[in-house]
Amino acid sequence: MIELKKVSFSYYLPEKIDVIKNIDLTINKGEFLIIIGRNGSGKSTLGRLISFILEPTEGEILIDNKKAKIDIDYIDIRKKVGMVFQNPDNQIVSQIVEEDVAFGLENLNYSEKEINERVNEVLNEVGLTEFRKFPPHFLSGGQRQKLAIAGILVMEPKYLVLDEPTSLLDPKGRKEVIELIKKLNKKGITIILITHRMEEAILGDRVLVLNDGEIFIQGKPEEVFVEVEKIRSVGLSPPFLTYLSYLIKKENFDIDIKLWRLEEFKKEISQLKLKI
Amino acid sequence: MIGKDSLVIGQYFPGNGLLYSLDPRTKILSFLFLMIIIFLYKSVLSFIPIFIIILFFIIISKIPFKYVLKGLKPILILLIITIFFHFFFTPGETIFKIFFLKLTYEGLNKGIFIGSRLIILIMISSLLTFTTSPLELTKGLEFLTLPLEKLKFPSTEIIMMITIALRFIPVLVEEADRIIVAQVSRGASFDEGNLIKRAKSLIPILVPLFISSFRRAEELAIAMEVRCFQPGKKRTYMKRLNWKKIDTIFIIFIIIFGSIFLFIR
Amino acid sequence: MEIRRIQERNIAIEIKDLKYTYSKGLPYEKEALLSVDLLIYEGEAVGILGHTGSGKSTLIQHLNGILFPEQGEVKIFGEKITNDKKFLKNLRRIVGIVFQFPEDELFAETVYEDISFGPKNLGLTKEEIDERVLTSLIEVGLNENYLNRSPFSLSGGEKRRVAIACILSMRPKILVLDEPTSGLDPLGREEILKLIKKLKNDKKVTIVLVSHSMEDVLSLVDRVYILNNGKVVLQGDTVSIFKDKESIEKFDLSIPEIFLLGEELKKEGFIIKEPFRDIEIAKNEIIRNLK
Repeated sequence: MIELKKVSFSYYLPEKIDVIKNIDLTINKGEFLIIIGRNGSGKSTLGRLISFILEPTEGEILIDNKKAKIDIDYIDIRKKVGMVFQNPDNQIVSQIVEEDVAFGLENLNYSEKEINERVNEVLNEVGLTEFRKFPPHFLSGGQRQKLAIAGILVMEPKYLVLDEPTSLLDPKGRKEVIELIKKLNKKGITIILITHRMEEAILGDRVLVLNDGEIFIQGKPEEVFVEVEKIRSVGLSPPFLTYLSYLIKKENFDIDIKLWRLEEFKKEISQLKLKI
Repeated sequence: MIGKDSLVIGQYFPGNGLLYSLDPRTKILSFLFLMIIIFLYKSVLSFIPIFIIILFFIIISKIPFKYVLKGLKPILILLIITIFFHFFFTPGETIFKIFFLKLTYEGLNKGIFIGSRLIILIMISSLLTFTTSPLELTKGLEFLTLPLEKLKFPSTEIIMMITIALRFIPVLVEEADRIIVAQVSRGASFDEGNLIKRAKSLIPILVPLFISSFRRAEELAIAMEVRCFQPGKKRTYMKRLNWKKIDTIFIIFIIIFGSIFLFIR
Repeated sequence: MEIRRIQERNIAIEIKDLKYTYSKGLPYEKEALLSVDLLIYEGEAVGILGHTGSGKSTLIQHLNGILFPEQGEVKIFGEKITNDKKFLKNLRRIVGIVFQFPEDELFAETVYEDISFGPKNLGLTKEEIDERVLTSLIEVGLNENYLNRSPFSLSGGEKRRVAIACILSMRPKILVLDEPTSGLDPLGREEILKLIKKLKNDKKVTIVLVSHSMEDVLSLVDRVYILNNGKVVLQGDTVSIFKDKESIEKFDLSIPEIFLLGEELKKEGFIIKEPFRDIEIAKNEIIRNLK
C-alpha cells in the first residue's frame, strides 16, 4: 500500500508554483490505478511523487505503512517502486539488450549467476529472449519500451509507475505494451498508469482524474466516464460510445449514458428505433 | 543531411573471425604494443611485415577495403602535408629541383618512412575499433585502468560516462538531423552570408538541440537512479571478461612478431 | 461524371517509381522506399498510413527536396524537383511540412519571432511579415496577446498550434502533417482536427496526412495510401478502404469503432446516408433514424 497524506508539491520560478495541491490518496496492493488529466495537470509530477523520485514539499508518503525518505531508505524504496517513462530511448543505458536488463542488478551487486538467472527470467516474461544479444536500436518502439520495463522488472518491484508509456508508439507497439502491463498486474504487481488515451483508461480498477494539481473525480471507470460534462470541462473526453450516448440523450431520447460495448450499443439503439 | 556516412572512424563493423573472438584487453594491449613498437623502428623495411599482417587481419575479419580507406580519409590532408614537408625540406643530396623546392634522397626516405608510419597507426587503431564493440572496448579499458582506482582515479565513473556518451552520440546525431530537416523546411539556409550571419543561422538548430539534450539527460539520470545506480559505488557485472588460451597465444605472437623487425636498420 | 471532375483538377503531387536507400554502399544500407507511385490532386486531403518503418517519413522528405530520389521522380504542380537552390527555396514555400512534435523545433524568445522565421527567410517586407504572423496566429485559433510571449511558457496544445502557425505563415499550397495530434489530450486533438478541416475547406489547401491514428484519418481525408515495406500496398477512397477489414488488419492497422458502428447499424436496417466519419455525423445519422 502506498499512502499519500496531504501531499503538496511546489517549486519557485521565482514565484511559487503549486503543481500538486494537498492530495490524499491510497493505492492498494494489486490495484490497477489509472491517472488521467490534460497536459499540464500535474499527472507526471504525481507519478514522480508516488515513485519517490520527487519528495513532497508538504505532507508525507507512506509505503507499506512505513514512512519513507529517499535519502535514507534509498535502496529499499527503489526495489519496491519502479518507474517507466514515455521515451524508451532515454531509459536504455546499455548497447546490448541483455546487459541493459542487467543494469539494476549490477548496481545492487548481485552475483554473475544470479544476474543471469534473473535476466533470463525477465527476458522470457516480456518476450524479448530472441533479441537478447541485439543492440536496442534494432528493436521496434514497442519492444524497446518492453525492454525499459524489463530493466525495472528485474529488481522485482511491487509497485510499477508508468508515465505515458505508449504515447510515442504506433498502434502495434501500444497493444504489445498494454498487454504486458495487464499481464504484470494479473501477476500481482500494483500498476499506476498515467495516460491520456481513454481506451487505456477504461482498463483500470480505478480512474483518477487530475486537474490543476487536485483530484477532480475518481472511481471505477464506469462511474467516472459517465460524468461526461465534468470530464469534458477539464480537457478530456470519455470513450466515444459513452459520449455518443450522452449526445443522443441530450436530444431527449431514452438512452443510458454508460461505458457501452459496440454490440450492446447497437442493440440498444435498434430497440430504441423499434419503440418509435 | 549531416553525413552519417562520414562517421566511419571509430565505428564497429559487426562480424566474426579471430579478431572478434579475442578478449578486448588482448586487442587493446597488443595493438597498443604494435603502435609503440613502430615508433622504435628505424627502417621503412620494418613496416612491410607489419603492413602485411594488418592486411591479413583485415582480410580474415572480412572488412571491405573501401571501409578501411574511408577511415584514412580524415587524416589525408595531414598525411599529404607531412609527406610534402619531409620530401622537400630535408637537406641532403638533391634528386631534382622545381623553383625553390628541392627533393632530396634523405627527404624521400624520411617522407615515405613517416607517411607509412602514420598510415599504419591509423590502420591499427581502426582495426581495433572495427572489430571491438564500443561496449567491449569500454569494459576492456575499465579493467585495464582499474589499478588506477587505488590512486583515487575515478575509473568506473569515467568508463560509465564514456559508455553513455557512446550510446547517445548516434541518438543526438539523429536528433540534430531531424531538427535541421525541420528548420530547412521552414526556409532556413546555413550557407548564405558572412561568418556572423552563418553563425546566427545555427541558433534555430542549437536551441532545440540543447533543450532536447537537457531533457534527455534529466530523464536518463532519473531512469538510472530508479535502477539503483549510485555514482562511486562498486558494481558487479553480468558478463565478466573472459581470458582464453588464444588470447595468451595472440599477445605473445604479436610481441615476438613486432620485436623481430626492431633489428632491421 | 466523378472521373471527369477529377481529371479537370490540377495535379498537386505526382510521384513515379520512387526508390530510396539509406546509407547506400555501407553495411547498414537499408531500403526505405522500393518503388512508390502516388498521385494527389489540388485541394484533396490524402492520408498516408503504415506502421513505423514502412517508409512514410522517407516519402514525405521527398516532397520538399530534403531527400532526392535515387530512382524515379517527384513532381510538384507539374514541375520536377531538382537540386537547384532557387527552385528549392520556392518549393519549400509551396510545400509546408509540419513534422511530428513540431513544438520541439521552436527556438525563439517570442512567439512573433518564431512564426516570422519562415516569412523572413522568404525575404518579405516587415509589413508583409507582420501581417502574415498575425493571420497565421489567428488561423490556428490564438490571438495577438500571444505575440510577445515566450513559446516555452505555453501549454502543450498551444505550443503545437504555434508550431503549425510557423508553417502556415509561409502560405503553403500543400500542407503535409506528420502525426499532428500525437501526444495531445482529447480536446487539444479535437481543436487541431478542426483547424486542419478549416484549412482544407476554406483555404483549399491540399492536405497530406501521415498518421497512426485511424480516427484522425477517417475524419479528415478523402483518400488513403497504405505503405508497407517501402511499397504502396493498398489505395483508394477512405470509406471503401475501411470497409475492407481483412486488408486493413493484414497491415497491422485497425478500423475505428465509430466506423464499425455505422456499418453495423446499416445491417440492422438503419438508413445511413453518410458513413460515420466523426461523432457529429454519427449523432445526426442516428437521430434522423430515430425520428
